[in-house]
Amino acid sequence: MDRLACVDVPVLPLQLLLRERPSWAAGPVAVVEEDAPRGVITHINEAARRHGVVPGLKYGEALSLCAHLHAAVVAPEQVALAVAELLALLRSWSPAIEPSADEPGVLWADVSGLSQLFPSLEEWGAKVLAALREAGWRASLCVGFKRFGSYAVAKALRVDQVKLLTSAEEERQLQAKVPLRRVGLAPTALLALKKLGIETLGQFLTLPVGGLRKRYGGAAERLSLLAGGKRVEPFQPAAVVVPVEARLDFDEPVLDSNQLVFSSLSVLRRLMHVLEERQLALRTLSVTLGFDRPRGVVNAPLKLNVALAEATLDGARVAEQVRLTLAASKENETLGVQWLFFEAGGAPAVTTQLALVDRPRRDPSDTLRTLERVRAAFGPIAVQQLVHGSGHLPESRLHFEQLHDTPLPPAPTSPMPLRIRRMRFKAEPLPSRPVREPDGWLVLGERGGPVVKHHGPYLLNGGWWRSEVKRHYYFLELTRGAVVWCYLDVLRRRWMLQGFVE
Amino acid sequence: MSGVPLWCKSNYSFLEGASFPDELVEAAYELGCPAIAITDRDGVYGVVRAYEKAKALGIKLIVGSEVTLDDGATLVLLAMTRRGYANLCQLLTLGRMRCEKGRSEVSRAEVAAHAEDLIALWTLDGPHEALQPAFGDRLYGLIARHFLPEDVDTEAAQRARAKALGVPLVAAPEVLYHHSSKRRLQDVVTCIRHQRSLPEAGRLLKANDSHALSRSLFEGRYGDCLELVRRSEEVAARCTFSMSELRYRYPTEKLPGGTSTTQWLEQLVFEGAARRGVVNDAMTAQLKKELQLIETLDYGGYFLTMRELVEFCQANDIICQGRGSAASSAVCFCLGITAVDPVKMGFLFERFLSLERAEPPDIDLDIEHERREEVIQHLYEKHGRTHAAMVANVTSYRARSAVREVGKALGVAQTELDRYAKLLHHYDSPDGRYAKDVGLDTSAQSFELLMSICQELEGFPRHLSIHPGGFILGHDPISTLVPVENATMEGRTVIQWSKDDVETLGLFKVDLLALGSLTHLHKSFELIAKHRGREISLATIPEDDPLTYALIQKADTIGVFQIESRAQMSMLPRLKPKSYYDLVVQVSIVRPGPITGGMVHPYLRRRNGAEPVTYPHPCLEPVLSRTLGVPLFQEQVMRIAIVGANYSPGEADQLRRDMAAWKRNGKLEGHHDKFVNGMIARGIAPDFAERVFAQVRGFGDYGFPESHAASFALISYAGSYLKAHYPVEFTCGLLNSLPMGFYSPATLVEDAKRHGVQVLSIDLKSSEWNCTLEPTDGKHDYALRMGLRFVKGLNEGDATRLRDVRDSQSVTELVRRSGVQARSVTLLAEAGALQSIEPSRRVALWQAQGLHGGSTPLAVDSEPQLSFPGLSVQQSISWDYSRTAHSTRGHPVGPVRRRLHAQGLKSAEEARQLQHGQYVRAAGVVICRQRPGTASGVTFMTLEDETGLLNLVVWRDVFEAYSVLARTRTFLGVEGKVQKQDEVLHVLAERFFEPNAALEAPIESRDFH
Repeated sequence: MDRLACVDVPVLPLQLLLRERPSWAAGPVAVVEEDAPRGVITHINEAARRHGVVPGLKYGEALSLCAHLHAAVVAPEQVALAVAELLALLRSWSPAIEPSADEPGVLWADVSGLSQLFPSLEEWGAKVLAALREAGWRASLCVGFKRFGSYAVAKALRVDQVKLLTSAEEERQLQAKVPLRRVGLAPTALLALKKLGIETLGQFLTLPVGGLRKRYGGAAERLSLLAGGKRVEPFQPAAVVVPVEARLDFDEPVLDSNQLVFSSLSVLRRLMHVLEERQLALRTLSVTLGFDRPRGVVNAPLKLNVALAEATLDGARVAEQVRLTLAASKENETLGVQWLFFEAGGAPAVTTQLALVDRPRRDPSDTLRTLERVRAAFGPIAVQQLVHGSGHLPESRLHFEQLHDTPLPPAPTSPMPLRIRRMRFKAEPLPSRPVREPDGWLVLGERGGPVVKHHGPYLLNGGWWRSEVKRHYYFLELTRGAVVWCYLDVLRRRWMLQGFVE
Repeated sequence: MSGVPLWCKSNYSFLEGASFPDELVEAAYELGCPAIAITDRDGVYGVVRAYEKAKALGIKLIVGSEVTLDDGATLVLLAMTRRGYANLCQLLTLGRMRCEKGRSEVSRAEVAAHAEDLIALWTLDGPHEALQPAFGDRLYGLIARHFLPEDVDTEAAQRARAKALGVPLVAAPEVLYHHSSKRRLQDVVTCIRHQRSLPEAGRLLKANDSHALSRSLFEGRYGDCLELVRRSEEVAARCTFSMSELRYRYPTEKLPGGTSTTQWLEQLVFEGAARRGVVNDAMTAQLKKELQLIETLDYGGYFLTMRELVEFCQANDIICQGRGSAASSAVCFCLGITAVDPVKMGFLFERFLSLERAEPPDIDLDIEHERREEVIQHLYEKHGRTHAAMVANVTSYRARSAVREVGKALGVAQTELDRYAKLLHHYDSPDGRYAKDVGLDTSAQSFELLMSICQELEGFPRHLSIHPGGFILGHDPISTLVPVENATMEGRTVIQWSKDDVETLGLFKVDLLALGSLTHLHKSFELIAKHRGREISLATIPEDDPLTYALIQKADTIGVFQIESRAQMSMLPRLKPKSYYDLVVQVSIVRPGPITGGMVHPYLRRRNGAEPVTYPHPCLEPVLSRTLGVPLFQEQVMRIAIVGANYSPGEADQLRRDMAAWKRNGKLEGHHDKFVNGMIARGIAPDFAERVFAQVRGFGDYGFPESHAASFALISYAGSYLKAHYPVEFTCGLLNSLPMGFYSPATLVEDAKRHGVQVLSIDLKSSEWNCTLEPTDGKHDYALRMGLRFVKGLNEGDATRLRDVRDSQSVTELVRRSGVQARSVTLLAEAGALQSIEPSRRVALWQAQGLHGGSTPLAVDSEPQLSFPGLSVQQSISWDYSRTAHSTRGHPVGPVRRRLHAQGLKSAEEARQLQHGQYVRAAGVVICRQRPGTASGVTFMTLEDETGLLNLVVWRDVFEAYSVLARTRTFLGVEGKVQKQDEVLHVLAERFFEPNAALEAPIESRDFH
């Protein structure tokens, strides 16, 4: 008979949280959906349970029960990464692993035939738990016969406990004793059933399936069918995803970047073909360069990201981007390349209809490609846009943000003649001058001439809650025509140059 | 300072200004401004407060408002004359009444239609076509300079437009606070208004602190155009309206042909005296004196209105009774407004009305709380919505709300804020106590900021709500006197002034207050009449009933109006009331005035013969003889001031008013020297003089006049009488009047059981919506059947439909025939109310959960009959508490008593057997926590178990040492020392702990502050 093991890493998000904040482990801890009084508690530890905190409570309510409760949010992405980590770890112990789609932290492993490799399946289980422990996870493990039976028993075990079931009958008997709260029923249904005195799977199975569906919904019905053996969900091990990557080795270290590009073409074609078979276009591409250089020169591999503005099937465009990327790297960095390693990432290809009319004179896709080339040549942070901020200070009214894929809108044309204020994001101190100068205030020294007229002051003060700012702004007209934009920093008692008006 | 600030918004422009109106007025006065305009946003909320201050300082107050237009712009309007003020109020009423609460908008055409005698300060934006012809030379261009670069372009455009239109310009910077130190508070209230944190608020905050009322408001700012500053003075000179011009005409009642108000009132009063059987020389003389005064002051109409209201109540079988100083008026007594004979009781009429004071009388009418709305709607109907409106109540920031909102603005983590705010009591100020308990870093700069800004924000108006029962009625439309706006409650309109504002301006106010105890009495009377055939009313309850006084003396007064509180119950066995007047004293003595004045113990000692009755001076004997030489009532303090400290009656009355408002204006301290020195000069001991003055301060909190206490004592006596003679009806009436009073239904049910009342559980087959009486062979002939109203979540409509089909044989049939949703039946099943249909609560619950409700529910009869484990006693009680907040089956502590005994924890009954000074360990359910303002931080807690109540006294240091336990747990263990005096037992708590026995029942404590 085939055997199946279920590994339960209980309260996975909570374990993740405690890995991040080990100092919390001694006291009551909870995972919340939102770090606010109305945030719902999703997972708790035993210390929190002892204080009456249960999943489903609001954080504020829980705090009134347990004033010292620590809580934080665990992002779904973190949980997904952890599941991937567990999957990878368990693959060392069984060829076929199925992570639960409903309950992160529950995984099944096919253990058929493993008794040939290990003294016993119990010992196998102990080694698996030891490996998990070493990786920082606490888990329990049940080697059973059915997918649901092994799951239910594993959920009822203490952490670090391994249970080897010897017969299907034993599995059925133990399953009946499993507390209902362990097997993933919604808190409202659990509460309603508890009111009826139904607290174990065995008691749960005495209730009619139809009645359960009507009262507590499909999840309760499914649980009843699974536990009663009336519904069997097959073991579905996760497929191993093969990364789209390729390596190109050279007999002799390559000294010419053109040769590198030329040699890469066939590899790139192959990678794009693999993606195409998966119905994907190339979206991300990285090239790692391995070196073999004379002693005294750094030989560490160099990883370069090739900028791609959108998912593409255009091989020539990709080759051009690779060329620009390699060329942009400091020239001597591409010398002495012994091998190249390519990693490609895919995304659904953008499909557009053929244009029925002529392309507009300014095609946004041209802009995109241009920006893509600029990025390839100068690096990703080379393309930035100026955005409006909400503050009062000049430097917080405008700031730069990295521009991603959105093309810039055309600049509006103004019928009014504009004066341009050139601003220094970081104001510079103006040289100190004597209080009274015979020729007038030489704010920029001799080169600008004295101030002939001033406009201001314009007062900006605030930020008292963080670091207070008190500035008196002026526009100063100098004899030689320049208009200086400066301010008196009242708190520091010094004049600062903010910019010029043209 | 030259120039008049014409555009000033106070903190009554809710969450916009950052200073009180009186602070702005005072700052203007100190700067030497000849006048100041208060122009709150879309209202005149703060002008009365500003007017009071301006009158005191002798500075001119210009009344105006910044009016929001429907295109988003605003216009500052200033009242030149009384007519202009009326136009402003009507315009604001128009804008407010068409919008939801908190908003207002009017069109330019509507502004133009109300332009007469108003000056408009216009920022010269938007269309001018409507405004310019309407305002003519009263339209000014508003130049507000705030040191912003964009001001230059804006002003250039304004000047160009003003020139083209021929509109004169005036300097009017926007003032939002009276001192630059309030700038950060203004930033915070801006954040609260926009629901942003400070770092997120960006340009929603003002760029600088040029919105302060300071010398630099005009100086330096308008140096290049001083004529604009001078023009602000011209504008101020054109505004001649003063709030003192507000003349108010009380609406005239319809009179029988040919009679005057005075004649009609006199006729009614003497008819009433005859009906009450109190016609004698003393009463006649008093009535004549009062009627003469009423005629002189022309207040007859007001008395007729009150009498009409009382008549309406009587005609509609609604119990009402006047309270407050009105009870000292013989006219009120004879008109049926009040119930105590003031001549017989020797009350001081001048406390109510005096020629010297010439203030409108203040009659508060208590009405059954469930039926007050009928009286309110009658008043609206009679006077019309244009001539009657309710008085506002300004809700202010308290520590808790301040902490929450300032914390949010400062970006403090919400969870910590929430925890901290929950620990703050009503009376607490945000001073940082408990902050460490919730994990706030008290050493951080942000915490310091939080505390200091919260302290500044405390007391700031937050929003307008509705006064519990204050009405103003007018001969002219109310909206010509003050703007009227919509209240949140449908069918209600509310004026923009509070009760204090109305009193300051001397307007007539009718107070219709809701009193649950009158509902309680009424329902109890009806039950007695129905089941025992005995008609009882407030007027016919036998006086001086020994059984009633015996009950009062042993403090068996849970559920009795005024004397059911923990403090009152502790005092009753010491004072041992034997007569009605004793009860009047009892009601008054447990009040902040006598307590802080140290008058309670001397009175008790003298009453018990432990101390001789002496008087500090022979002249005070007539004043204090009834209270054994100890002053207990407001009237006595006034009389002492006159007789002992040489006050004139007018000064004594000023003392009374300053007592009432001492926390607000601090004027009371000005009386100290005159009062104390006056008494010393008369030969009265300085110690006594100081104690009386301390009591005067206490009255500022909540002191009772004797007449008011007498009205309340009457209701207390009636309640006690019912409890002594008709405990079943008393409890039933009380339960049917909830929510009211001090105690939860569970405590009331437990108390009834201790009095031998048989309490039957809720059962659909027998229960009505309300609690009812069922005949029984038991002690009281009737048992109390709990009503369906106690099933949490069940509405009365569903309950009625279910009762109509109560003969159903199954849960399915019940749902099918009643057509109610299955949820209502589920609630009944959980409450145990279906036991006559299905004995097992769990089976009933399972069946109810399986129904879909409506007229054709899916049948569950086809489902197999299931059985579920039965409930234990503890579980049954727990289910009762969860669904009905009480249990007739037992007290939640009962089932765990054995485990508590094993831990050495005594019951309340066992604790009562202990001697003074012994230590006790006990546990119980916390049913209330109280921390009176007079108790210097002492908290009084009451624990309840299956045997009764145990009173705890918790000193501040103990409470703080166990603050989380003491504040949050409902089942609590205590260890402390027994304090026993005159059969009154308290436990002085030394330690709190959680008993090692969890209760299953969810219980809520009722916390009072």
